[in-house]
Amino acid sequence: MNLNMAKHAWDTGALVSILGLLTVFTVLAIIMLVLLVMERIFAKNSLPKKAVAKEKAPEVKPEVKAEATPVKKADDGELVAVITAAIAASLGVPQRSLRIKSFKRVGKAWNDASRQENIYNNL
Amino acid sequence: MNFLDMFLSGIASFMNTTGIAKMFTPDPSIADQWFCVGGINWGALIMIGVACVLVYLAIGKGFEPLLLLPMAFGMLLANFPGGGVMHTEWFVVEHIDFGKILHNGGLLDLLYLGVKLGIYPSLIFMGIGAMTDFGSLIANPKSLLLGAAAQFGVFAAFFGAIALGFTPKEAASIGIIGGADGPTAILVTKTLAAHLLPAIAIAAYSYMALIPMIQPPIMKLCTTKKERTIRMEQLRPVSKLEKIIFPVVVTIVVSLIVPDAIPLVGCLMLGNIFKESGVTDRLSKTAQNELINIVTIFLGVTVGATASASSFLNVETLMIIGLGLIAFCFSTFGGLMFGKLMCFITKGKINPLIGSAGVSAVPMAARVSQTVGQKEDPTNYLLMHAMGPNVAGVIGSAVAAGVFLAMFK
Repeated sequence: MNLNMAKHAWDTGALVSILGLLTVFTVLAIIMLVLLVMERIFAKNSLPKKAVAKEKAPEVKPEVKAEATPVKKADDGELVAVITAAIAASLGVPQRSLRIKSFKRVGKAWNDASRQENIYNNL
Repeated sequence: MNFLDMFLSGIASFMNTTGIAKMFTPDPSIADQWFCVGGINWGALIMIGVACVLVYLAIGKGFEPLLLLPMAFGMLLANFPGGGVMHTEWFVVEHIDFGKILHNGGLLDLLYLGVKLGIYPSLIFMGIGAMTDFGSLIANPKSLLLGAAAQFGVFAAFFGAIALGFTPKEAASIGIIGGADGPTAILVTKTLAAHLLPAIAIAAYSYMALIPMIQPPIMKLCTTKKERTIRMEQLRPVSKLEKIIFPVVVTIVVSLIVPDAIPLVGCLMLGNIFKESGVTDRLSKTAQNELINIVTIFLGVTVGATASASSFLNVETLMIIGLGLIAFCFSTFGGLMFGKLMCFITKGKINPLIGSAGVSAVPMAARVSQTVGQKEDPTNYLLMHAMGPNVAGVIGSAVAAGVFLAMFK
């Protein structure tokens, strides 16, 4: 291979690399644009109240803050049952020997731990 | 007496048909290769050794065992002299004699037709489509750009391969390793440079398994602690209708611009619409379970079987393995850098760590983003955000493959 040929190969390489990367970006950017349009349409359809109130579609999505849902009275029975079962299982004593008198949430540590465990088990 | 003679000559002729005898009398076609020394076919012995190491890596170390194990065993099967289950040399010629393959081919020759005709990679993509939830991508369309940026390594390795003296077709096949997508790499390679198939397939799948080791150092090097602890906004819920429209839109856009990517992207989206439409549950289940498993067995065994001593034991294989690593590193780097750019533009709303998930190995790359992010801040959950670029990377590498096929086919 003489120097000219080698230079030619390098040029081809550089050209194809740039063209290729540009094509990939273009295709995915077009899909992105379509998806953004789609998002606008569906955001308007699903949230008509908000869309009417503001002319511009809200850039900042209303943040869903569902973390601190107060425990409803109706669910307490089930919750007590679950807590009883969990304590019974971890202490190794029969459930009927336990009675839950009261309970209160002590922070997010347990939530985080179970969420992490769930993620690692699923992947 | 006569009977004894017959008996002995019978044994002698049987001895000549054994693999041991053939090991010592190499086939004339390979007798002049460097690995045939002193009348012994060392090549076959080395390949059997390599196959055993790969079997160990698959089972003992858990390297992509679903593919590496069939591949390693296929390699083992094909490298016993005289077995005749696979004739790689019939497939690497300009005009393949399909009549000869059908008449005289061994078991793996016939199964390999599915690779050679490009059937298996597409069917595997259909299964992947049926397993993939594009919801996180639809919720955050900007992650498509990260999936594109992470194809940087494909073209970097392509350029590197050209510089090392590979032909453009070979270079394209080597570059596509950086897409971190086995079926894509196999489809491109079998079309453009069939003789490199075993090395490229094995490099691609091994590096995919090594992602948790390759990526984190690069990710830490390219990002600051502050960037790694960025928390991202919760993704919006995606409606079912959007999930159904998505595969149709992607198919139309990709097919209009890069028709050569249709076999891959089209099948990916076909599988996905089976899943999302909600009316083809049975088809979706078949595509993501039985079909993909059957095809994976065929693909793995036959691709492994193409690794004969004469096609695998050479300097090119070493260069491919080196270039493959470069491709992976540059892809990770490209994704991260674009992630940083997006972080800068959005004033810190995007964690650059999700950029590295743009290499398409699903879901390993996203999991790596999650793990690296969580090391800095145990309560930060990047996984769902990283899934967006991750599945975008699958589309991105299929498009990159289409570009190469369009240019060099």
